[in-house]
Amino acid sequence: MKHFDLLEQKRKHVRRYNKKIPSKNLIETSLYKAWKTTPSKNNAIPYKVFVWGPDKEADKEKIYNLCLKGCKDAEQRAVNDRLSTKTSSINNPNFEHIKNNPYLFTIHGRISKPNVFHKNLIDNHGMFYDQGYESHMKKIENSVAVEVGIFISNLSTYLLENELDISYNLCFKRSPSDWHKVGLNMIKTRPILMMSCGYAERYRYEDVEEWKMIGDDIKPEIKEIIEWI
Amino acid sequence: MKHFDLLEQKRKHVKTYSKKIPPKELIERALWKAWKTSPSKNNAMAYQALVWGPDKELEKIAIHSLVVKCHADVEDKAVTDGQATITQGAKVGGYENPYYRHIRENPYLITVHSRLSTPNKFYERQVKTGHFYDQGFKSHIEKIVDSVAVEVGIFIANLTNYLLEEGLDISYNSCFKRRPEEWHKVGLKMVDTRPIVMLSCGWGKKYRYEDLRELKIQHEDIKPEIGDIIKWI
Repeated sequence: MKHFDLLEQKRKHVRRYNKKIPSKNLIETSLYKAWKTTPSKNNAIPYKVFVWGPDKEADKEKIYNLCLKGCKDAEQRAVNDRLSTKTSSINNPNFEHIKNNPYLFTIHGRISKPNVFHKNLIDNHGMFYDQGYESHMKKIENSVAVEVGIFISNLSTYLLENELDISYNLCFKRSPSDWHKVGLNMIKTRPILMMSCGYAERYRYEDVEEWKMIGDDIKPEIKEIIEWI
Repeated sequence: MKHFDLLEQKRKHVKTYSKKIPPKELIERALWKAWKTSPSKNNAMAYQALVWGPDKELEKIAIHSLVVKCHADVEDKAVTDGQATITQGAKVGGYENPYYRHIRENPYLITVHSRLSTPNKFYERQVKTGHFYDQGFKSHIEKIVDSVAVEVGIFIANLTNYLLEEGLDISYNSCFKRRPEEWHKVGLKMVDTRPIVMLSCGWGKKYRYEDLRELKIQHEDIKPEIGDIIKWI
């Protein structure tokens, strides 16, 4: 199947996964392919992927709560800053895939070490390897986030090719200290993105379709996104 | 061709492009497919892709100068901060990374920038119930830039795929001055918001890996091991 058809037909936000657990081998193979085919500036890969498997239910519940808190805090700040007049009265049901899934990936910043080629450039030619410094993690955050986006896009494709479903999430508490407060002490660096994976039982679009609002939740027109100079 | 094989066989950093210009229709089709298939939080797409075509040679020279300046400034700052002892000499014109040349000399250059978005009908209703639509506020452009950058990465990965499927080559760049005022200083007044990534496109004539192979150092420029990147909890 062509890439376009795969994404159009298969990538849909999951409301709920079924109980069937995909084989670990499928996940490992897809992760290997994503690692192998995703480029990185200076070959640094300054991010790390944590995989939370089927037995990590308690940890996923905690991560889900960090998502709800991230969302609630953002809404409260908006009210405080007078950008909004009220906060939501319900928990967003579209975060539930973070709690109930066979596999969850969370991607975090990582301090990298230069390979032999770049070490030579650093030691003998004055190249600066910003991915190697804790002090630069914040400064290079958005260029690392672009690389994470490329990685997750490739990983999504390999999982979808294996008939799996995936869903993304970008709303969560970003300070590792918030993760420590709920007992996730293995997290040392800032989370950038999370994605769940499994076999879907129900998709978000089915809810929106039932509410007869599918025509309302559309993208901006292409001319707003692409501009020929 | 499967996605893995396409990327393994076709995606290679371009050092120089051939002078032959791909038809505009190929680029438009790939951009349309990337727009159509890239998801976005709240369907906001809080970014905009600017396309600099074959006639924008002067603008590309200006953009290239912002890339070289960024490289020089980062190295100078590292010396000032005691994190390096020497620079490569870009500031004094002694050195120019040859792998930025694809930004100056290409048939098509795509730069992706932040964009203020407006909610669709569905999210207009959600906002009324207390949902905060952060992509709609200028004050939040910087605050959400890293999550927008993830989406830009997804968009650019899809675009890459569609361009490679058309037999084209592409190359990325993440090193450039990020403040729009710097772009204005070199005459690029049409850029109003923060750039996030750039990608050049055309038919490759010479690739970076060929240089490394000639120098017999290709084996030195490798990725970290998969065990450093993927950790099962």
